[in-house]
Amino acid sequence: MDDDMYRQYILDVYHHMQHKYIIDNATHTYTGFNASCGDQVKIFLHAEDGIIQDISFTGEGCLLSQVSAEMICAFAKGKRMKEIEEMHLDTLLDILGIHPTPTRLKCIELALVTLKKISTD
Amino acid sequence: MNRDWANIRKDFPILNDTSHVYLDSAATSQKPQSVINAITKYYTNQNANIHRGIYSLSEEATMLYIASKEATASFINASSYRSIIYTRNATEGLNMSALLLENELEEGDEIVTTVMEHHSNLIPWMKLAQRKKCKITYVKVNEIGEIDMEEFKNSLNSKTKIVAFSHISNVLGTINPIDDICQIAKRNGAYIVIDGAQAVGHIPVDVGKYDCDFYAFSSHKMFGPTGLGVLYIKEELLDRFDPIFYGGEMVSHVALDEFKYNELPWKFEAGTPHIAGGIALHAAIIYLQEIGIENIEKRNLQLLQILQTQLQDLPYIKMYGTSPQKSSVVSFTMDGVHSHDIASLLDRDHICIRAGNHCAEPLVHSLSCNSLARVSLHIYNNEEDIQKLLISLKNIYHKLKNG
Repeated sequence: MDDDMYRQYILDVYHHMQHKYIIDNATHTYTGFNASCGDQVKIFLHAEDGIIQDISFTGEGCLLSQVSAEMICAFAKGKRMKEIEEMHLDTLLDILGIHPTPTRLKCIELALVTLKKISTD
Repeated sequence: MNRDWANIRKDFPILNDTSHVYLDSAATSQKPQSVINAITKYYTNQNANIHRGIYSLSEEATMLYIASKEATASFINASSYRSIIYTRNATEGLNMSALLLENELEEGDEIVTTVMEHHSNLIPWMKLAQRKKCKITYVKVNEIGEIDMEEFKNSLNSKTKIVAFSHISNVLGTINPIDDICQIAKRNGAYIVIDGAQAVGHIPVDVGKYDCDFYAFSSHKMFGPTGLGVLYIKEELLDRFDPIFYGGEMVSHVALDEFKYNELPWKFEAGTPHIAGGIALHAAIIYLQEIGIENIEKRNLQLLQILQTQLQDLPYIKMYGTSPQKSSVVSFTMDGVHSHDIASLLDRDHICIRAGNHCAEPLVHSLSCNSLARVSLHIYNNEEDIQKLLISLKNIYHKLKNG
């Protein structure tokens, strides 16, 4: 874990998003908001037989909210919906490899909460 | 008073002991040593409950608490401390104003306020309007962050019973034309409620001159302690209104079938108040008066101008609220960088600013933003603080803009 929420790796992900677009054949979409700061993440997901075949997102907000969405999409592709449903925030923090301050935790949580909403729908 | 500003900064121990560049005084001001000492002294040597003890320690505490009220009254030019109610904060004062005015409203009456208000001067009126089936009109803000006065005049009519507005906007820093607004509202026969949270301790405040009915502010934004607010209410209204809270201290006589209200202002302060807070607020007022509120106003204007000039040179910064009548609050956005990222990255350089919607979501949205970064300065800040901010902002932009 790194205390620096803005270390180079995170910045590189931010500047080279691989999943920030709209997929045409989404079977599920869901938009999540953080009302207090205006962050927004919309996740598009194509699932077959409970397996996430394709996933992407669009959104606006702080760097952490967008990087979190990017990395959760990369992680979720090919996984079972059930697995995402049970995913814990700590797993996401491990993937990101950072220790956010308590107030910034909700920025990172947004994409996870949004994706979980889809998988439980 | 000829104290130089570098020495005044030394009066604030938090700014000496740490490397913080504190640029969030609109959220809460730092505290001078004299205010901290007043709290320690009260609990060390003077602590007793007030009004009721028949012993000298209690009498002394009572006198100190009353002296605080007298100082507060004189500081905002209220005719008597009978008009000064101590609350928890400005928010509580505004909520109390709305509750006290409830019986003055009839169905179909109107409340006029503005889009620039803090949530604490919006939601109490929204709830009141819901309960009493009244209409709220929101006066818009123009492109430089001022209340549109023509629209304000046109929004008033015979049904307007309450005009509620902020003296200074916590986001835009705009100092509203309080004399004009009050005159127009009075001529229309409306009650006037002013949110003075950003004004007291920054610019001269004169409730006598405004002839307003309610004026609410917070101690902690004027070098005083948290947990204490002030609500000024015109004395004749206080005589007429029933209190909101009932209990000890607000009654002069109680039998099982009747009770009599205590004198003003105690009728409106049920239970043991924040005695230490009141006494420490008095110390804050003495501190402000020693420096002189006009000197404070000038100093803050100087700091504001330095900051605005520097930010203007950065093409990727957009400032919101550029009225010439402005306090030392600057809200801005940076191209392609979210305000929370700005605040987090500034924090790594020990620079404290606020980011988000600043409890004024309708205003921030009306500016077509989701979120703003806000720098607010007070007398203890200096040019070096502003230079450090500028260097960090430039670094943040280059770090985040495209990698």
